[in-house]
Amino acid sequence: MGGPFGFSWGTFAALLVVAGTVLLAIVWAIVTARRDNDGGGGDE
Amino acid sequence: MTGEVAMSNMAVYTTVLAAYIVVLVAMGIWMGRRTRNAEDFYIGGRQIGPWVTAFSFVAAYFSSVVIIGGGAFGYKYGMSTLWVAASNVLIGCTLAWIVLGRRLWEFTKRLDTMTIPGFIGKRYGSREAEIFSAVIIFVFMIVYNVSVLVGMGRIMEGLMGIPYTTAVIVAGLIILIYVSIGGYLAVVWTGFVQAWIMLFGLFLLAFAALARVGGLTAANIQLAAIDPGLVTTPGVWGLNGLLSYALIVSLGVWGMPQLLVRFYSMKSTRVLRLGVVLATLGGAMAILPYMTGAIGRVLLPALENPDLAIPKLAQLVLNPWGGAIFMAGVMAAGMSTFASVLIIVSGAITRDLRGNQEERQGRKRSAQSDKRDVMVGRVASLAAGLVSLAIAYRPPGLVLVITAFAWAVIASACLWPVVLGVYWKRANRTGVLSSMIAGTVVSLGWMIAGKPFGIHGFIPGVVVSLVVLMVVSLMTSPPDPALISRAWGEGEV
Repeated sequence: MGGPFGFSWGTFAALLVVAGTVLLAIVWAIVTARRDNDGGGGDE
Repeated sequence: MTGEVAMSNMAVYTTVLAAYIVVLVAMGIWMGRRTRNAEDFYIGGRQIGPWVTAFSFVAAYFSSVVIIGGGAFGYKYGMSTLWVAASNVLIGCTLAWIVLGRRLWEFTKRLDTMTIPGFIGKRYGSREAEIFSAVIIFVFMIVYNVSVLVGMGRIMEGLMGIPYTTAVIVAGLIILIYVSIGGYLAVVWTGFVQAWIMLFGLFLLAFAALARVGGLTAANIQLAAIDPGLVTTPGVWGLNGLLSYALIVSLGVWGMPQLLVRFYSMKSTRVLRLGVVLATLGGAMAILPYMTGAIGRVLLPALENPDLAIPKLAQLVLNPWGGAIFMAGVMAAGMSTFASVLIIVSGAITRDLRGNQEERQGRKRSAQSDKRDVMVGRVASLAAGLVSLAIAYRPPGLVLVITAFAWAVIASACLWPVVLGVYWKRANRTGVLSSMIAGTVVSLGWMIAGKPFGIHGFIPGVVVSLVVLMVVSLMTSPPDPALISRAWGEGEV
């Protein structure tokens, strides 16, 4: 008990993992786009 | 059941479903006209963009089994099942795309292959490994498809009140028509549309259920009043059960050919950038069935069969139009998965088991043999679908158990040969064949032995498969350098 919306903190952490994963995907996409632009990657 | 559904509701369900089916069949026929050769039929001519790749991935990943079965798990075990959803998003979507996407696209292109058994055969230079993986995929994908069909039959039976057998036959035949005509192009484009219907249906049910229960905090307070273990982790489920299930339906993706095919059908590796973000956002919807199932425990506390939690909840909180859209969403989830699996089974028969004399002689396939492959592929997908339909007509029982069983065996055989195949040059043909046989035997044996220690056969299967692949590869001679150079594209300009 004790977490937001009546969740336990252990269960609420699952929602934080989902939010963190969305951030990870965005960061990876940006880094990959920069790397491809610098190194001419991104095969066609 | 039939008497429970009012005629006016039935008319609404039938109208929505009929409109939906007409769209699917029309898409199948349209895509069939664009399918000219085997590459079009199996991987859409490697011309698929980020939106269609990402959302058809999500549609193929989350079948009716996840929506109905995931809701049942949420009902039974409460909010700790949100960890299954988190593992779906992190491991099953985002990391799968990041770790495997680019490499699989590059390797399958260099090795000129369009199926997972074909990739394994060419990467390791082993026709035996190709045939073994094709047989495993052929048998256990049909088993998986049976559970998908049963899930669709149950939702139509539950919401529309039509007999289960009629529901299964109608759903199965529609998919067979558009897959055998339209091939992979029909599968990805219908999958794209189906993903949106599925997402919309799930959001609709989740919001209606939340509104009925008084919000998320109220739902958790009422769940804790039933049993405090329903809002804690691992809670009433226990760590072994939660961990086993979360790993099967997330790490298992890395060895599932119907999902991996999305990576090598992309038109370029640039698709990965936007695709990974879209697939992650779409994958995050995995939260909804588990959470909604848990809310169902508050609103419908006395259900004898947890599998009915989602259909009964839809009946309780949605009006007929909402219920019809939700049903179309569940049907969409099932149909897209069933269709994706049919194409993979068809490829396993046509490309991998049947083989090609020209390729065996080191020549490229001729246009004529390519055309023959498409025809055989259409017949093979029809035949595989009819076999699944025949088994689903009298379902062998526990749907989720069968699904996890099929995923466990396929992943135990294929996961590490694929992952190490694109990352570890030292992995060789003896190692891969030993690993596939050991993984299959251990996962099957573990499940037949009744899952000792409460651990699912998937975990010992993939662990043994990894250890055997590494140890046997290191103990035997390295792969042919020419084969490795070709796979890794070394010496290319």
